[in-house]
Amino acid sequence: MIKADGLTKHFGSKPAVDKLDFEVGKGELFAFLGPNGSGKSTTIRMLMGLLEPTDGSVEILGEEMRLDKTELKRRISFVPDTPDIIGKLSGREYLNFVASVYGMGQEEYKQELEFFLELFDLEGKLDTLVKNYSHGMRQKLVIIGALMHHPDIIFLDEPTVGLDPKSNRNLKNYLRGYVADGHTVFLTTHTLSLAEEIADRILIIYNGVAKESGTLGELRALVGKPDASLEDVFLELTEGD
Amino acid sequence: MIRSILRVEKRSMINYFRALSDSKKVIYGLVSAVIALFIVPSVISVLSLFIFNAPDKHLSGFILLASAAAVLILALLAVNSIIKEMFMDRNIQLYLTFPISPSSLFMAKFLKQWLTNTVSIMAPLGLAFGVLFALKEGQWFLTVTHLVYFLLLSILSMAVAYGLVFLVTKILPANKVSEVLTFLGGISFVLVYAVLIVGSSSIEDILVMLPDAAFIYDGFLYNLNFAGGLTGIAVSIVTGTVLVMGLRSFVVHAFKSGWVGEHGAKREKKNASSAASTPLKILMLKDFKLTLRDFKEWAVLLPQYLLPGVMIFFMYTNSAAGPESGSVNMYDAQMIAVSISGTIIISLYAGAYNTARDAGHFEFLKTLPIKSADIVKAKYLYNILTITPVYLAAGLIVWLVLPISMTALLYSMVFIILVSLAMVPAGMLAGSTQPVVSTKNPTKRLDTATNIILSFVMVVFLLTAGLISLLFMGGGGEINFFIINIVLAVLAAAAGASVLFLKNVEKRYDKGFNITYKD
Repeated sequence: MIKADGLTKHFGSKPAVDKLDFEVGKGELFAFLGPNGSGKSTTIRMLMGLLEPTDGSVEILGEEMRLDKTELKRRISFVPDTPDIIGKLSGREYLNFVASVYGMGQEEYKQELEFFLELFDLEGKLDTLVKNYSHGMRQKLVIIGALMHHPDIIFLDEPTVGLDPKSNRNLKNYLRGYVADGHTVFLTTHTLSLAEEIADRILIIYNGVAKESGTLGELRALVGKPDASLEDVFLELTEGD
Repeated sequence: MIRSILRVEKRSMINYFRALSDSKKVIYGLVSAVIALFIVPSVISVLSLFIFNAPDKHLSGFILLASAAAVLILALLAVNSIIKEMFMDRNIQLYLTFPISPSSLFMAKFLKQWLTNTVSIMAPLGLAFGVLFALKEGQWFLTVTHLVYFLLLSILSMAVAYGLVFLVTKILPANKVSEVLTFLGGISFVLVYAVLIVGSSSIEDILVMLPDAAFIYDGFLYNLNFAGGLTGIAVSIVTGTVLVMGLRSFVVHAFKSGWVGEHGAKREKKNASSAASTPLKILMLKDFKLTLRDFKEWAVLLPQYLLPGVMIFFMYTNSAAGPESGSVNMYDAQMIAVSISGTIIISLYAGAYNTARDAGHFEFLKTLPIKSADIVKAKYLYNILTITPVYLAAGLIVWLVLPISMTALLYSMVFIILVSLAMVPAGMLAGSTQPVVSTKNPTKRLDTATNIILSFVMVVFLLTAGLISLLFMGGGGEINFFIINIVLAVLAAAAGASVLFLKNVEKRYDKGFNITYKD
């Protein structure tokens, strides 16, 4: 579903991401972890086609990813690290736009909207301008926009920041069910407990270079601490950063 | 897809206007009324005077001059919206995460920017030119040819604006580009004045210097003939299409290479140093750095700083106010009057803006172990240091250039010092009344009421500068030193009394500002 092959990005002479190789399969929840400035957002933007790699390639759903692959982009979606919304729209106007660009039918859109508004407690708040929303409400809106058209792959960059505990739990449960249905989730987060709880496989990136990848059990074995938490494993592999 | 994006952009604009505060709606209404009642009729009357009276040999030069001025001004005005939409907002990056092709995104954004920034002005201008030429020559089709030509100019303005933005973006990081181009946008307003004042007064001299453009316009925009009209329309359409297609491939490439929408700020690496200093010095240094590192800070106050220069220019180029109306001493009186008016205006504005800037980091400022008295002292000194020496130097330059006596220069200098000492505290008080914090427009710091009051004071002093100079003229064309000394004494007393204002500002720093948060 996702394949990065020698993925490299230089800003000036400095490499932000260096020869990254990994694959994410169908029905997998893949956690991509790393300290601040380690190259996570740069990688996710290259995977989405938003940034051209200096070297290497990205394959999404078996096709080379590029910014102008409109049909391919119809099958994926992205939740950025800051929940910005296009223009000065109300929540409903934003979701209407998302539904129209993903070509959702009226009936399907209505049903999905009903389901997600209940899941994230946003009923009755959709007709307010987004600029008056709290951070958490914006985050929910962006997540709904990304999930409601059921993409094959969803890229989530820090999705739980600002979410209340109930929505946080609902999102986790939804994502587990989502991958069980054969969809793929690519997640970056600093909330290591979230990754520990829901990720099938984890890749740790440090200074733009992939350190290790595997299941939590494999990573524990790698550092020689079979009972360690993901936090301990992470700090061990990233030299305490 | 283009329609979907345009629908969103339209909805976004409607929401923006709906969410405007009542005061802003009133201001926009007033500006629209001024444009409709004064500016449009003035432009049409100036155009009709020239078009109906000018000989044929001057028509091509006139159209060329008007075209160049319109393209330059509109391009400078458009850069701000381009930089905001394509670089500063995250809108571009967000749109591109959706199944939207870069090409559709560019076309939708271009259409919106073109219609709002340039067509909205070029189309009425083309219509005015076309109707006037049609009336002059009795050929209604000239309205169509002019409209087509001015629409081409509107595309050309956008192409120049995009070129300017992308050229500067190659050299500077996006946030710095925004500051520089906002400043250029401000300059374009000065260009409008320059075109209207210098252009209208010396148009004949300018026209003879321009290259002969009759081969472009003759037969197309005047002396219309069938072949010229059709060729002109066809060439305009083809050129416009080529420009848009060229821009499209250029910007799409920029989208793909991550050039557009990137915040590629290059940060300088500096050694961390924290040399021990007094709170007064640290606070003044903070204000100097905040001003020097941000071009927008300069852009806000630059018009007020330059105003005395403009006043001097008008007074010395206006024969009615020159020595013919009195004596050579009139120059001296005008110099003193401008020194007073100009220093009042800049002291009020700079005092208010620089004080209101603290609202943006007020909580942080209050968490520091610094007394409010020190903050106020530092702010006062900072304002005096950035106003008084600048105006003293400017006064010296004016004295060197213009026939002004040494006595008038010395009086002007004393006035500049006293007025700034007296008026800066008043400005600081105004700025601390109800400062505004806006994340999107950080330089919009004053509330509407304070803005209106300051603008009113500025207009009053602009209009009365001439009267003040007459007040300083005694009988027999001599300077009335008695009146001048009385004003000096009053100002000296005011400078002393302004300590009361400073005390009030200090109280506001103690209690906390009444800040209005926007965006």
